[in-house]
Amino acid sequence: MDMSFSASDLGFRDEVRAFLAAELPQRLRDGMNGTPSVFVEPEIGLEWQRILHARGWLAYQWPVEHGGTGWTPVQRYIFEKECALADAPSLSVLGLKLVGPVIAHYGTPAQKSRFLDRILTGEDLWCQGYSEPGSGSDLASLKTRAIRNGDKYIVNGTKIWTTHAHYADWMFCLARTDPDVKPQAGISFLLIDMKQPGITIRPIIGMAGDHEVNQVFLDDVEALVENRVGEEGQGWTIAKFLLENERGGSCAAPRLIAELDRMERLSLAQPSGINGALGHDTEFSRRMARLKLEAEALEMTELRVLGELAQGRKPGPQTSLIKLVASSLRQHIDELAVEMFGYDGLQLATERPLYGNESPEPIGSKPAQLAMPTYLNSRAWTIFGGSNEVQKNIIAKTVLGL
Amino acid sequence: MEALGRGLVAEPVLDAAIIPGTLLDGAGATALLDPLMAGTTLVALAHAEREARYNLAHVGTTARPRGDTVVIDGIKSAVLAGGAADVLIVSARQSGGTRDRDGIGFFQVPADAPGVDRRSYRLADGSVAAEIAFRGVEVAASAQLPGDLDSLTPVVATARLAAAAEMLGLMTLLFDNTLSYVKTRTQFGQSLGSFQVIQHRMTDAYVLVEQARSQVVRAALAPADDFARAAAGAKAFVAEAALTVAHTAVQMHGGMGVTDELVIGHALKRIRVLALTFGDATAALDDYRRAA
Ligand SMILES: Cc1cc2nc3c(=O)[nH]c(=O)nc-3n(C[C@H](O)[C@H](O)[C@H](O)COP(=O)(O)OP(=O)(O)OC[C@H]3O[C@@H](n4cnc5c(N)ncnc54)[C@H](O)[C@@H]3O)c2cc1C
Repeated sequence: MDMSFSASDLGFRDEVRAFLAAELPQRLRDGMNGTPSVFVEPEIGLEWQRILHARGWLAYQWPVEHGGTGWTPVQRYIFEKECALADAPSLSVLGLKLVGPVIAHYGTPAQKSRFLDRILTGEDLWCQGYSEPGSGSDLASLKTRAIRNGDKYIVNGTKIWTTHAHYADWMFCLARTDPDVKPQAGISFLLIDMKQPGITIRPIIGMAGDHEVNQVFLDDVEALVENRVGEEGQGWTIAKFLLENERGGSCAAPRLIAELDRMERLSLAQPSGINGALGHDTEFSRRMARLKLEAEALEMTELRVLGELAQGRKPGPQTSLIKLVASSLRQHIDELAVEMFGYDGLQLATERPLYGNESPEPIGSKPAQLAMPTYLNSRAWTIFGGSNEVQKNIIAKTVLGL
Repeated sequence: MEALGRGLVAEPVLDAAIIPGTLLDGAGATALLDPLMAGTTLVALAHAEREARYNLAHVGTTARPRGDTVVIDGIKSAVLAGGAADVLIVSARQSGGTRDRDGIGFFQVPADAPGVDRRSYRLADGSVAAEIAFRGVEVAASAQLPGDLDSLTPVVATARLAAAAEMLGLMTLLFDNTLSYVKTRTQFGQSLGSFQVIQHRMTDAYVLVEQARSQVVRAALAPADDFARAAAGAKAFVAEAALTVAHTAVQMHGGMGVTDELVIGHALKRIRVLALTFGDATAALDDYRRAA
C-alpha cells in the first residue's frame, strides 16, 4: 500500500531501505524468521540493536534529549514497516519500550545517567516484575512487599511469567510499600539488581518447548531507595503509563502483513491435493484474503492513531483496540499457517534454536518446521500485556461508557 | 477411544492398532493381524505423500513387477507410528496416473528391508512419525494384500470415528478442568466464573461438547451403508469444536494455559494431531457432502 506520503517521507523510506539492505546481516534475518517464540533471543536481538544504535536509530521511541530520533509518527511507521519487510529482528521491548521511557519520564537525573545509556548499548538487560501467581489481570492486588530500612528496601515476594528473567541484569518491579491504603495507592516502582543473593529463577517451559518465561522468587532482596522511580506510592500511575506503551505506540500491522505476504508465496508452492497449488484453492485463498483485509484495516487504524499522536495527543484506550485486533489476528494467521503445511505442519521439534547450523533438519521445509511451535506460542498473545477480556473491559468502560 | 482422550493416554492405539488392524482385517491377512493384535509386531500404514495433501487417490509411489517380485519406489510422509514399526503396509501404484483411483495396491514391507530409509520425527503430541523413502525395495509378489484403494474406505471411516471419539474425550477433559479452574481462581476478589463473559465462554464450550458427543453417537449408530459418510461428518464437526474448546481452555487459564505444566496444552496438541487423521476438516467435509 502506498499511503500518501510526502516527498520527504518517501526519501526517508528510501534511506531506511538502503540502510537495511546494507547493514542487516542475513544471519539476523534468518534468526528472526527462525524464531518460533514470542520474543527473540538476545543473541539475535542484541546484535541488531547494536547496529541500529551505531546508526543512531535505536531509541526512536525516546525523547530526543535521551537519544531519540525526533522522527514524526509517520517516519516511525515507515521505519517499522521497512524493518518488518526486511525481516529485521524485533527489538526487546523490556528496556527500550517499557522501562526506558519510564526512566526518561519519571526518573531522577542520577537514574537517567545510570540506566538509560546502558539500555541502548545493551549492557543492561531488563525484565518486568509485574505479575504474581495470585495477581495477573488484577495486578493491583499484588503482594510483593518492600519494607524500607534506611537507604534500602527489603523486598519479599514471588513474580511469575517474567520474560527473559534468566538473561536480565535488572528487574523493574512493582512492590507494595504501604499495605494500609487502597491497593493502587500502596505500590511503588523499584529497580532491582538481579545479580544479588535472594533471587531464585525457576524456568517455566511453554507448550512448544520454549523457555521464555520464569517464576522469580525474591527473598530479602535489596533495592536501593535511590533506585525507586517516582515517589513512594506512585507505582500504579507509572505502571499504567508503561502498560499503555506496552500495548500500543508501535505498529503491529506491518509485520502481520509481511507475514501474510510470505504465506501467500509459500501457499503457491504447497500442493492442493487435487490439482495445482493450495494458493489457488478458492477456500484457502478466501481465508487468506479475509485475514489480509483485517490486517490492512489494522494498519489504517494504527496510522489514524499515529496521526493523533502527531497532534500531540497521548496514546489512550485505542492502544487496547490495537492490542485486541493485532493479537487475535496474529493467532488466526499462525493457525492458518499450521493448516497450510498439511501433515508437515504437525511436526514439533523440541531442540532450540531452530535457526543456525546446529538446528534440526526440518521435515518438508523450514517454514513447515516453524509453523507448529509458532502457533502454540502464539496463544500467549491474547494473554500477556493484559488479556483480551481485560482489553474489552477497558474499552467497554472507558470508550463506550458502559 | 473417548476414555483414552479423557485420560490423555499417549499410546499409538489409533496409529498402530486401529488403522493397520482394520486394513489387515478387511484384507483377511490374519498372518500379520494376529501378531499385531498380540502386540508382538508393530505395523504402520504408509500411505500419505507430501504432494497428495489428503487426496487418498494421490499415490506417486510405484510398484513394478520384476519376475515374481515387486519393486517399490517412492516417498511416504507422515507415517504415524512409522518410526518404530516392524512392518510397513505401503500403498503403491501398479498402473494409471498419479491421481487415479484405480491401479493402487497395498504391500507388506519389512521396515528393515534394503532400500527402506526412515527419518523419524516428533509430532506436536510427542508421538513419533516418520518420513520413509523406498528406493528399489524388492518384496515377493505375495506381499501384496488383496484389495485396491476401496479397501481404505472402512479404515478411514473407522479411524475418523475413533479420532472423533478421542477428541470428544479430550474436550471433556479440557472442559472439566477449565470449569473447576474458573470456579476456584479468583481475580478482583471474585471467582473468574462470576464474570459474565467467562460464563458465556464456558456455556459455549458446554454446547460444543454436547453437540460433539451427539455427532459421535450418531456416527457410531450409523447403518453400515452410511457409516463412512457419517464418520467423515462427525470427524469434521468434532475437530472444529475440539479446537475451539481447547483454545478457550488455554485462554481461560491465562498464563498457566500456555505452559507445558498443565494437561491443557497437551490436550490441545493431541487434538491438533487427531484433527488431521486422514485429512483436515475440508477433506472430511468434502467426503461427507460428496457421499450424500
Ligand atoms: C508469554 C508470556 C509472557 C509474559 N511476560 C510477562 C512479563 O515479562 N512480566 C510480567 O509481569 N508479566 C508477564 N506475563 C503475564 C501476563 O501479563 C499475565 O499472564 C496476564 O496479565 C494474565 O494474568 P493471569 O495469567 O494470572 O491470568 P488471570 O488473570 O488469572 O486470567 C485468567 C483468565 O480470566 C480472564 N479474566 C480475568 N479477569 C477477568 C475479568 N474481570 N473479566 C473477564 N475475564 C477475566 C482472563 O482474560 C483470562 O482469560 C506474561 C505472560 C505470558 C503468557
